[in-house]
Amino acid sequence: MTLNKILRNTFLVLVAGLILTACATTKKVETTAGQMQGDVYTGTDTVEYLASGVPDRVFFATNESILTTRSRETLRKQATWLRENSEITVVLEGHADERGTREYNLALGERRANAAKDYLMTYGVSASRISVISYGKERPVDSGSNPLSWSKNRRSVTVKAN
Amino acid sequence: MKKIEEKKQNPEKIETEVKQVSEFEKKELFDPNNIAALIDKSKEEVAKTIQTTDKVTQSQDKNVERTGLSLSEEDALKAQIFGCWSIPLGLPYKENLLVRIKLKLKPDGSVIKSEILDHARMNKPGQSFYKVLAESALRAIRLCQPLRVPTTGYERWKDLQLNFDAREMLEG
Amino acid sequence: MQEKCWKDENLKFLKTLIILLLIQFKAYALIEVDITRGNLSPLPVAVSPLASDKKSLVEVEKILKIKDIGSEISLVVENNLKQTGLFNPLTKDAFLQKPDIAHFKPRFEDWKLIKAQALITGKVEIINENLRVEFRLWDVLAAKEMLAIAFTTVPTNWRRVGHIITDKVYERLTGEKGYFDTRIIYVAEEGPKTKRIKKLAIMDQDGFNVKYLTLGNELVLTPRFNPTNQMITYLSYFRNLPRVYLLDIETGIQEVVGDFPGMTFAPRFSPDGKKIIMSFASDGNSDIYTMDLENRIVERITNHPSIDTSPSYSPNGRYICFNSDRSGYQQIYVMKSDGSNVKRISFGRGLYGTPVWSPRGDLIAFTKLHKGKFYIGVMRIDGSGERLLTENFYQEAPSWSPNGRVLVFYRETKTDEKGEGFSAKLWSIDLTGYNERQVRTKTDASDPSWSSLLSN
Repeated sequence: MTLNKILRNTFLVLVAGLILTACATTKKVETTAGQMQGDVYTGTDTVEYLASGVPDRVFFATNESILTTRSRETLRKQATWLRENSEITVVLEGHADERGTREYNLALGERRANAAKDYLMTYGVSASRISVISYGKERPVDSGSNPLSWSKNRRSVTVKAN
Repeated sequence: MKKIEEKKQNPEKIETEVKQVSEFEKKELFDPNNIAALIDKSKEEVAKTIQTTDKVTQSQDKNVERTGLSLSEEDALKAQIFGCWSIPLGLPYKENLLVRIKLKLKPDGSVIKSEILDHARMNKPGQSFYKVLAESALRAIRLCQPLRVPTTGYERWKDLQLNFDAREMLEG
Repeated sequence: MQEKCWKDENLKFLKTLIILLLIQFKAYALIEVDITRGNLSPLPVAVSPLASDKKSLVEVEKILKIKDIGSEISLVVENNLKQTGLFNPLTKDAFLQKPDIAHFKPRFEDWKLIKAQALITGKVEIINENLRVEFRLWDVLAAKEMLAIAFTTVPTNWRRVGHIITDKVYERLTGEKGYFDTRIIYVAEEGPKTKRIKKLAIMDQDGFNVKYLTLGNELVLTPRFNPTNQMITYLSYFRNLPRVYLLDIETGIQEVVGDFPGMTFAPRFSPDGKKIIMSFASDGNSDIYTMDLENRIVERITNHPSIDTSPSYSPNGRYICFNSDRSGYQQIYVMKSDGSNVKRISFGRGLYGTPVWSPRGDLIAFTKLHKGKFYIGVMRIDGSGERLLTENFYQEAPSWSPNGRVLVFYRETKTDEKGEGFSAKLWSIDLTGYNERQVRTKTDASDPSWSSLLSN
């Protein structure tokens, strides 16, 4: 009988726990769902367009410079646009979030911008039309100190140079 | 090339004239031959005490044997000097910094004479930490005197050696 | 039989003699008492205002617009001593002796009464429009002079005189060189985080005499002092080309270091001041290079497809520490100055960056990032003995005081959801992890670098 009581109590606690977890998840969905995958930003808040349907930036995971499937898609659109507008030259601006040492982040930003540059080149954009600059963590788009802000700041932005 | 509005950053030279350097240590010179034997002896004992500083009862038993001061007599003296000694805080604790001072005392505990046993070390280059510690120990004695000595047995303690060792404190 | 008996007798006698001798010896044995404890409170020091004659006071006021120069200089000294955490300057209200008499012949009993263990006195005068300052350091308890020095300089240097006095006093009382007649170069910051304006700035170690070296038109980062002269090296985004620059703060002339086809960054001087070591980033890969400032020869030191940056020489110039992510994550490595014998030295949990070799040679200071916190720490040059000195939300870039006792670094506070609450300030902390203090700056500040002692 005592056992039964314990079991029942446990069950109640479990149910309560489930409800709480459910609440927590719902809340999270409101703030970051659709905006982050893993810790890569997938939202559109900060994104600008080089031309209709051509987003100007790609995002990265923490400490990474690997292009996601989505980033590659964006860069292919940029490459198409650049091939169609052969007089345009661009600067790729690489950035990092504030969660790293300044000098390392300068190198990391440069690595990210170059990852984007390499991809554009494989899609037929001449290296002479692309220059690269790293700002490290010096030019965040979002000044917040939270995972979502940081994900927006880990980026490579393609900027028209002429 | 860019120009910058700021120009003269380097300040004017400052002339230094050293008027007089301390006479502090010179006046405390002593005859090293006198106490050569003592130095060797105390070295061994010091090594022993350092090992046993944590085990209070044990080392106290030994002290009674060795020092000829009773437990409470030694405690009273120690407690007094602990209070007077401002340990120089910047000292590196890893160096072998032990300052041994031999005192000649009056029956009331005031100090007639104090000698630093490794006095030669005070003025050696590269021994500035030792000198700093030695000076702090001398200050402690001066601040404390008359020392809290037993009321009886003057012959026993009229010569007294204090071994100042800051390592334990600086590490902690 | 007979013989044996005698021997026994003899032995007995000898034994007694020995025992007697032992007792005798014990009675005369020198009593030793081990003093292993004391108080660890800062040493009480009285800094008496420096005395000066009427005529000098009038002249100083005419030149510097300062009413009582003697008091002002003693305040500089007092503040310096207090900042060290090693000394406790006593309040002047308690002083019983007038400055001029104290300097001539202190009444030690009076100073002992207010519990001073050391006393600083001095005299300021104007001689041929120059400022002549003499000071004495006294051991109050020994009733003796420990130090007496005089300086002559132009009046505008009066704060420096205070710093030099502190250096001399500090050295005499601690056994190691001071760090007061020094400057800190840093980046002064203002504006919102997304559009931060940054200027090179230089100030005295105590935060006074701030001067801005750039106007804020371009982004500037990571200035570092040449340990031997008045040159600095830093990263500037002039014309949007991030390059390492060299700036002579005496002449104001600056130039790009080397002719690299891409970003150069993370510069630092070699200990002899003759080379700059830095990173060059190209095609997504950063390696370490040096440039000889005399013959302009550039040498590549590392050649690895990882990020190699934040190099710093050992004081003898024979080794270089740097950080690299060649293991997958940012860690600290040490190599010979020609780039050979690369060895990883950081093995703790987390990421390690910005290694800086201590001027004493035995330690490397670093920034560590672990579980969302930033730490400033030190480790031995083989990576052992890691000690974390301070933890915070974000802080980095330690720089050593010239005597290797204090680290200056910068710390940023977190922004809230509205992007507010952000500020960056300079802080200092002792090698022991004690005595953490904010270094006073008018604006927000980052990337501090400590100069060598200006005078010796």
